[in-house]
Amino acid sequence: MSATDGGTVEQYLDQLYGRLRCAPRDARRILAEAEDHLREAVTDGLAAGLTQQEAEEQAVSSFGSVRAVVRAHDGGIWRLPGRAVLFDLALAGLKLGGIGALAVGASGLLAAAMNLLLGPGFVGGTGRGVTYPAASCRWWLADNPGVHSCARAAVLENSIDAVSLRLAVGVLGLILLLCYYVAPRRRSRHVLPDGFVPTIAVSLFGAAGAGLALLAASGGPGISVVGPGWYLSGALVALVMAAAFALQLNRTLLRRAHG
Amino acid sequence: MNRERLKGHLDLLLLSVLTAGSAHGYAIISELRRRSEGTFDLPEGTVYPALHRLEDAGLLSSSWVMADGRRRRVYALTAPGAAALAAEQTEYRHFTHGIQAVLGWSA
Repeated sequence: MSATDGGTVEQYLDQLYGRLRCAPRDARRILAEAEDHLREAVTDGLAAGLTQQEAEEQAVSSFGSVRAVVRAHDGGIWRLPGRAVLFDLALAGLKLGGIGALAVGASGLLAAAMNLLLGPGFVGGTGRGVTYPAASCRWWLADNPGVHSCARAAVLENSIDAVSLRLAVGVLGLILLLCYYVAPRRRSRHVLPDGFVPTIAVSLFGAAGAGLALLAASGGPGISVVGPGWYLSGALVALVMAAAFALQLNRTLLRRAHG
Repeated sequence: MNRERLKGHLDLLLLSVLTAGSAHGYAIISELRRRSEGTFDLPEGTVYPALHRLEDAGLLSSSWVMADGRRRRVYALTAPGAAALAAEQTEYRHFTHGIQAVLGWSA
């Protein structure tokens, strides 16, 4: 057949492509088979005396609605063994967990920079009006031999914890990401839709960033125990991550919309 | 015919059509319609997932060939597919025999 770009068959294939939710290779196969089928059906229709337009409409009608065809293929996906779905969810969890933990590590580096530039009180808090347990004081003072005030020792401890503990989480993130990259991803059946990980990441990082920014701005609970930098370092990294994943999600959606 | 009822037997019908030789989707569906004298008239696009599933199960094999300047997926019955078809046919024969007996249509 000689379907024009705006022909019924072409429009149908465009719609089908836009609605398919499967791995790229599977999508290409489904489209190739649908196109071959429709073109052959149109050829038969023309041979039977139909006009081009009539033949295309009949071919598309017999093929079934885009919704029915997509649902039939989706049904194939959901009939997959549950372990295929679990495998892909585990992969996504590894990736999200690794990136999240790495972001916590990055906030530790930012907290270290704040400690250097703005002093330990910006992250560690002022310690004013806080009553610390005696046992904790003894521990902190032993950790900071040049310091004689419990409050000052607590501030230094907080500012250092904000860096060291978060960096430890960051190292855990690197390990998780390493596991993600060495996982046998070729076994994946790509049952999760495109943009699944970016959507979750935008939501989680966005919510975390907004919440932490509010705490930093409003002097939230425990602000005298820890400083605004404690929250701000986390908020800045979370918002940057949310923006990065939003861009990735946007690219995914545009690619899908324009084929 | 009720489409849901037909779907329950679609695997058997597709495997049976392919005993005549390898064929692409359009030819398989056309043959299905021809042999059933138009009784089995599913939306054609919904038959492909069944072909893919049978291939995943190892009952069919498929390969790309070039035809009329475009790629075409051609399906063929595998040995396990032929064995599964024989087993399905036997089971279906027993099933229909039982139904006919209950309905009083047996010879």
